[in-house]
Amino acid sequence: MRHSYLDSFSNLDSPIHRLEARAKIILFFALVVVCVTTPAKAYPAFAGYLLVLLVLLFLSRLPLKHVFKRALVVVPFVLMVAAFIPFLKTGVIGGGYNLGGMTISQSGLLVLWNVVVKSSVGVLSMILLSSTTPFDGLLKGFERLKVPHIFTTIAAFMYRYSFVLVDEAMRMKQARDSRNFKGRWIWDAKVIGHMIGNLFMRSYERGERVYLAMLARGYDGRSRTLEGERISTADVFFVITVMTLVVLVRILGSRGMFL
Amino acid sequence: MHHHRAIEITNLCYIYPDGTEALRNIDLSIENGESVALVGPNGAGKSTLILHLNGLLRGEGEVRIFGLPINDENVREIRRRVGVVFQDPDDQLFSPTVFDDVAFGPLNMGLPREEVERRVGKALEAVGMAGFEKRAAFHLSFGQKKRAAIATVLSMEPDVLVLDEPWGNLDPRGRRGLLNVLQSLPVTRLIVTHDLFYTMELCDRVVMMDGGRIIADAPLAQILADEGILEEHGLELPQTELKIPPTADRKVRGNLRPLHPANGGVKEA
Repeated sequence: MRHSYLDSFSNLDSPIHRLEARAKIILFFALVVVCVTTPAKAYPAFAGYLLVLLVLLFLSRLPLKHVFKRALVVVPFVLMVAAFIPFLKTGVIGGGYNLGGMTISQSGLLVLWNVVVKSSVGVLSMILLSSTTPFDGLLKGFERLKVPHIFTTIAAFMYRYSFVLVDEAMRMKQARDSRNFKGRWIWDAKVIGHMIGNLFMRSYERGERVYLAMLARGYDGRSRTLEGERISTADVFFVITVMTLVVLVRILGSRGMFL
Repeated sequence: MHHHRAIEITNLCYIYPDGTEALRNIDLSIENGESVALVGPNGAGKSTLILHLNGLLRGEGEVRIFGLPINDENVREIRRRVGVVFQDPDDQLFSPTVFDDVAFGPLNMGLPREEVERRVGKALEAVGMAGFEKRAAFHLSFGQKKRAAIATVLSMEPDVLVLDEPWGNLDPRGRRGLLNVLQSLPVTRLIVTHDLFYTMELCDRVVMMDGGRIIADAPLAQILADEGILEEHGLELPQTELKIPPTADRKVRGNLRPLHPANGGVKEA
């Protein structure tokens, strides 16, 4: 079966791909933090962040189609927010807009803008990070940044076995549909419930077998990994340059210096 | 040094927590360098027995590996010396990359970096998977997964290799490849299988189990000659001769019904 991989295109070669995983993790997380803490009204700052991200995107040579497809995941969340927030905030009455009999407050719109722009920067950063770093490199990066081992291990197993699980679910679905299952009525939900339960049991049993296989190779609960390459001066230089730029954008943008 | 058998089991019994008697009075000894097939129907207790060989299960009775009894003190050394390859390679390959999986055992042994890398390279080389270090397990074919799973154990440089159903689900080419790999490894082998055809090429001794007991332990030729015992315990003789009707057209390749439009053929006038 064909899967869509979380880290597709991570094996391309570009200046961004060649950066050390830790450098990229720090860079993109810092960028997101700086962006999230920027006041919503500092419009030029957000333009600056997006510009930085677009330059990184250009340098990474990722296909734009892939990036925008991935970015669509943010749409449902933004829609949720869009549906509620404008009505919740009714603080500013004077600047309200009238849309077909509904009043939308200006502060509500500002919150919406805030959510849309910050989530876009966040999602773009994460897409850039995950599409330029192979998943195992990412895990090792987190490990070397002293993220607790239990988290990286859970992520590693989740990544490894999600494909096995999807395959199992597909085979089960094929076997079900081969016997003319229609799944049109509410009582058909029982069948789907059984399938989910079955998948859970299979995963549970697989977990036991994997643990046995780990024990058989001398696992004793402690994790041991090879120490990887050292972070290079070029990596450090790159991160510092980009971060300085982003912080400058943050400060100047908030003061309205670009306007 | 003392002479010790690779595996020595005396009067081993095991009852699962639900009350199933999985092993009853098992006595088995395997010399260093032997190749032994462990056969028997499903539910005979073969897999349960395997789990006793490296202390994953501990029943009543005694299991000694190169003279070492299995206890908490010895269990690390025993798991290094007895490499168990489980049936489903997806259980054995749990790391993000093939390298990480093959390095898992050596790292648990506390080996230094250079030695870990050397062993990973050697193990992958031995199973014909050199160059696959960076690949993720789910990118591999089933045959490659099977071979990688063996490498994960070889990297611990075991003296005994235990394989649970190595031929299961493999196509003939994959089986042949795996057979060549196994034949090239200089270790004591215990192979759990239903497939006597491939066993013939690899093992000279057969241990047969049924209902938690060992019911036969004999040279392969003797077991094969006794069709009664094979049938009684749900096994069959390897099918070496196929009955081919004398009139059959032996050239399959040229016989693909070229006239049928579905096969891309052009109808002749």
